Amino acid sequence: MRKRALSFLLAAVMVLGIAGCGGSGSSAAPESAGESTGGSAAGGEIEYEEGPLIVGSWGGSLDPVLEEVILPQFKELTGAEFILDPSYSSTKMIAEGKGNISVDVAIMGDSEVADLAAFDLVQDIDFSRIEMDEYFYENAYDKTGKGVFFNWGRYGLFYRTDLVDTPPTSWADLWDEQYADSVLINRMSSTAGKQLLCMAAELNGGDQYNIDPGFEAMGRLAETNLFAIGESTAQMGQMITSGDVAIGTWWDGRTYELRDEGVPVDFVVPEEGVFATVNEWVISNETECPNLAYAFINLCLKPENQMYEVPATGYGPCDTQSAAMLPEDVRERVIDTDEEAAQLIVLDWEYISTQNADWVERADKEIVAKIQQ
Amino acid sequence: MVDVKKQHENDTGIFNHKPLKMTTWNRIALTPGVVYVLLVCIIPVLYLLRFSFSEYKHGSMELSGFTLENYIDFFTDSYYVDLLISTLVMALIISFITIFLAYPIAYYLVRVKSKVVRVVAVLVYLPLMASTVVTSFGWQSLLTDSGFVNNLLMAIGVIDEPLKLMYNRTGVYIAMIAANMPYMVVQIRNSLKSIDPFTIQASKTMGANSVRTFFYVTLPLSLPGISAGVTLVFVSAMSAFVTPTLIGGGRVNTLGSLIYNQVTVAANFQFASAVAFILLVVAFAIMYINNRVFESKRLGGGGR
Repeated sequence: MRKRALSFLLAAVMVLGIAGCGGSGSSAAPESAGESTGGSAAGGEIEYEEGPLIVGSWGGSLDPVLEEVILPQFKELTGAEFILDPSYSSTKMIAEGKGNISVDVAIMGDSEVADLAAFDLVQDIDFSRIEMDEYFYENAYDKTGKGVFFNWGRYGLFYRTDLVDTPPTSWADLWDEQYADSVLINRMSSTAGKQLLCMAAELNGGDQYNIDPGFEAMGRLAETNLFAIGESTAQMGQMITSGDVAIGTWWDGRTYELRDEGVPVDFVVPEEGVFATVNEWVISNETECPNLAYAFINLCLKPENQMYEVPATGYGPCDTQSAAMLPEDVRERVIDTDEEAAQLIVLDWEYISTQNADWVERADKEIVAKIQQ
Repeated sequence: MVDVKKQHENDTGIFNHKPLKMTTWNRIALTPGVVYVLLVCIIPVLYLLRFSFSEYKHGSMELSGFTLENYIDFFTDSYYVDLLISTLVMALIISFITIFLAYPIAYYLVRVKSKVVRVVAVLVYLPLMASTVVTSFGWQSLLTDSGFVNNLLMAIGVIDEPLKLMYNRTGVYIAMIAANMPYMVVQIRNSLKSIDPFTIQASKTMGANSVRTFFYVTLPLSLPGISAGVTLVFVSAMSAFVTPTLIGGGRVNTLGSLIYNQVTVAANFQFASAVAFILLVVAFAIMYINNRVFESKRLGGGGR
């Protein structure tokens, strides 16, 4: 009799447990209840929706700035709040698909914006509503028109000043014999990897549209010079710090971060140019609070706020006003003049997005497989 | 006379409990668990199977069409087949090495009574408590050319040049074996603990020395524990992707990392589902073989 009562109790507990989980689980990601209520507009003519605005971010050093600096201003301006989803990425949005997008605004790399545009998941930006529009650099606009440039950095070469005799001056130096077994690069499936692949193609008679020479050159690099392919930025930082690698490709922001920590490393702008690593804000096609979205983006782009965002992320602003306001020591590390902005190489991401699957597969077989074991 | 055979008719190996009778109350108690497994495990896998027969549509998660294309692409490409084989071989090797390393530890934990045992037990279970990513970074500081292990070995003069223990397959093996040890130790320890000490005594009274006792009594009786351990370790090693990716330095590709790339970069969810299903089938096949081998009467298990 006791056994029966016990097993009944167990069953009841489990059923209640499942029912409880089911209830609370479905409300894990609050949907933006964004109907134009017409009220709660603390700022004048624009009617702000109720929100909250769901913002997809990286979960990195930008988040604290968004929460501590931007959020109070946002609340004051619109009377609404925003919520961060720190694990968001373009893959997530693509997997969610039309009709299911869980965010209103998100931060994306420029290559990812091209992917999202191909799936018709994000909307055209109405630049008349972007306050900083008149101050953007000339090439600080996304070809697809579906993203607003937020900040950018440079992807070039790094080298250990104590392990390398003469600083590198060209991307081709990576293939130099003296660097055998000590070159580090990003994984080929990332934006950075594709940029390097295109550069490898250009150095060998091809370009982003004729990529075969690039694969061939990267295969050679893998056979002789490559120490490792960095799977994560943090891991790459560790390899550079420990001196396992002497030279490689990386971003200016990260390199300077390491240098600040005392690692003898420096960043080089090669003679062929550097690649732009761009972060953009996108607005989903299905957002119900576009006014909040534009208010948020405008706040992020404000020069006063960029003063906090730039040091936190290591990326430079895309407009001349913010650039002028930066303190001296920050200025020399980020892109801050028209000339530097004009030097940036931007690839045709719309085209490359159609080649993704092919390139990833080829990279596995023709590059990764060749790394000396 | 007691009919010994009939008395032990319903024995289920080392546990020797009466089989569970399916009364109404038992059925009610089982229902939530069964429903959960159905909803969370079985049905998604069936969806995965159906999805793997869909045509490639970049980034789409809708079921569409019916094609064997994904599977054909996989099996006709020597790169993918090699990847499957190398992942399988890696998992098997890791499982076997783990058995040999874990058994002595489990034996020690069961048979020795001292305070040191508790400390050793904590050390063994430690990898379970930290996440794979965190431990991977820990390995980086231990195994690199300038890491702790190499520095120590060079300082005491065992080697002149650093051993290549990181960013290659060796490092991956070391890290995966260390991560899976706790599972194997627990399983073997449990089965060793449940051996009736009188069986050992009986063996000794029959004239067997310690070595014979171990090989003819203890080891066979602990085989179910080894089998359970292999189940856990093999599955974990076969589907591993975080450790090989982070510690392999990009050199060690597994089926797991292939699936990851196909999902996150190529957005070819259909192909990724096919690979995932192949992984599932291979893992199940090995599990089946594992069960049959370790529970065969010849090896001393409960028999089938």
